[in-house]
Amino acid sequence: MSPPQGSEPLTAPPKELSRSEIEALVDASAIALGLPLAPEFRPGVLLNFARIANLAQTVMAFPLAEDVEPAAVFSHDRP
Amino acid sequence: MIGPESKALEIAAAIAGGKVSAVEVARATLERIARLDTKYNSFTEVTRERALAESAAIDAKRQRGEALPPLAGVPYAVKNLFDIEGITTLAGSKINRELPPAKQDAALVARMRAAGAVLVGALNMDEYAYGFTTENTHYGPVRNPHDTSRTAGGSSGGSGAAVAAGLVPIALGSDTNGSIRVPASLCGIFGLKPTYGRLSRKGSYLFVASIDHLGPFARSCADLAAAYDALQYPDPDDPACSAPGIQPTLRQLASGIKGMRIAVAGGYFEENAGPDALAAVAVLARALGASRKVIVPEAARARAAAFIISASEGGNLHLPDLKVRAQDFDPMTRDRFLAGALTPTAWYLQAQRFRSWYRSRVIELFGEVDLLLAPATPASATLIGQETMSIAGREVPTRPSMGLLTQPISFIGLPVVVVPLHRPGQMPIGVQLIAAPWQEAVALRAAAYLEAEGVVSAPIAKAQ
Repeated sequence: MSPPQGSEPLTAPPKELSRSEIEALVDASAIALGLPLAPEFRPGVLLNFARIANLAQTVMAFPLAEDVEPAAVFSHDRP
Repeated sequence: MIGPESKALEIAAAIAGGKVSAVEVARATLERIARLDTKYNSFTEVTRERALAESAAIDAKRQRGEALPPLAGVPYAVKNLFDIEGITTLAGSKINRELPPAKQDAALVARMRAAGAVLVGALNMDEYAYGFTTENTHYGPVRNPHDTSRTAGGSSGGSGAAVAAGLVPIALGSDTNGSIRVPASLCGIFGLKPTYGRLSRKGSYLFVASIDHLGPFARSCADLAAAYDALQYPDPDDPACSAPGIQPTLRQLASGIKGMRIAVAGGYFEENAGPDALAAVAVLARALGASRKVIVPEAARARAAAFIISASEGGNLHLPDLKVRAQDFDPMTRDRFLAGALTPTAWYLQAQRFRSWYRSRVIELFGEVDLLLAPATPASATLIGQETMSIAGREVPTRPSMGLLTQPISFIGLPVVVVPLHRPGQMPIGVQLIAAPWQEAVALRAAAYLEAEGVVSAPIAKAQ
């Protein structure tokens, strides 16, 4: 796909995370947030995190121009 | 004769005309809920005393000769994430049961009260609105009134089922990624997800603040428009509420579709729909004379970005409870919230930046068309407990996939009316009528045209 107007192409596409990388990321983030992960919940969390990571690769692969701001404060133009 | 099939505006007219009292309607509604909802599990609370008091106040008003408001005496119920004065707001959770009762009504409940409507209860939902099937472990699954072995959709499943079963003519729900549109489709009723920022969310329990919407369900377009009109007002107390003022729709419904540029959304919206959903869109396109097909750019990526933002904001909202009592969450949502809380910032921010880009491109599309048609769900209702479903030859997990076709639309806050198709011997299915920002009236007019032509309708389910 050609990059959108006004954007710079990425130098390299984001790579898919391996199972062990997903585990490392989940465990490190849990430490950073002080969020204990009970052993019985861990497999489900890894599965769901892998789903998010997979979708994140899709989003991160899309080149965006520097002037595209986050839509965190989201409003439409008034008619 | 007023009965379970009666529409809201018929009930209001009968009460205003003295053919039936509001208290009689309220009592009959409460009796029907008590008798039938054991089959559907759509209510988590019945507000009997309030319903009798509100309906008695309507009757007294009439007896004094005062003008009655537009929904005077019309029974309705709300998803249990709306605050109801004196009742604890569950938001589908066990954790929130420990909270004190709400001190005042949510803004939209107050609006319905001001319009004369009579609240009869609170409705079941997915925990914290994170789901598309309302298979709530704490309060039990909501059962589809058209086939109780099937789901009612979610997360506003109780709202969809209560209206489809003829327990109430109007219900309110919320929609972040499809939670009004999916139950409307699977229960075969009308649903409206207005423009993001149109209706006040004050006093309702949030899920994903940057995408959350509220809206009504009904069994006719006129009822849907009447409820929506009653709910509108720009609320400075909701930071997201940016409505440009009240824009009534009810009187526009009969304006028809002349001059309306209508197209079918192709690409992603066809690739992720089963044969029933595609056939439903084709029926509507024919009825509306829509021969054009357009591609919504990057819809798959929009769905991915909406998924990431939902997981991140939802996980962050519940982080304090996830830290100390994750075991008290519904197993259906717990691992998703935990994973969402751990999402790296770069993924979230990139998703929000992509959202800006995507919104600009889709708004450009509305320079060429006024209304887009897309299926509301990939298929009709699946069985309760069904883990996978087939879409275009692919076996996919049921629960997240029911929202595949709604998610890219709510992501940028476009207004949508879902219209229901009922086919003999089959479960109902809905189609999204998608309009440009603030153009709810366009989608409602098209829906009313289809209803008047007999193409779409929402008959109540036969009690099983």
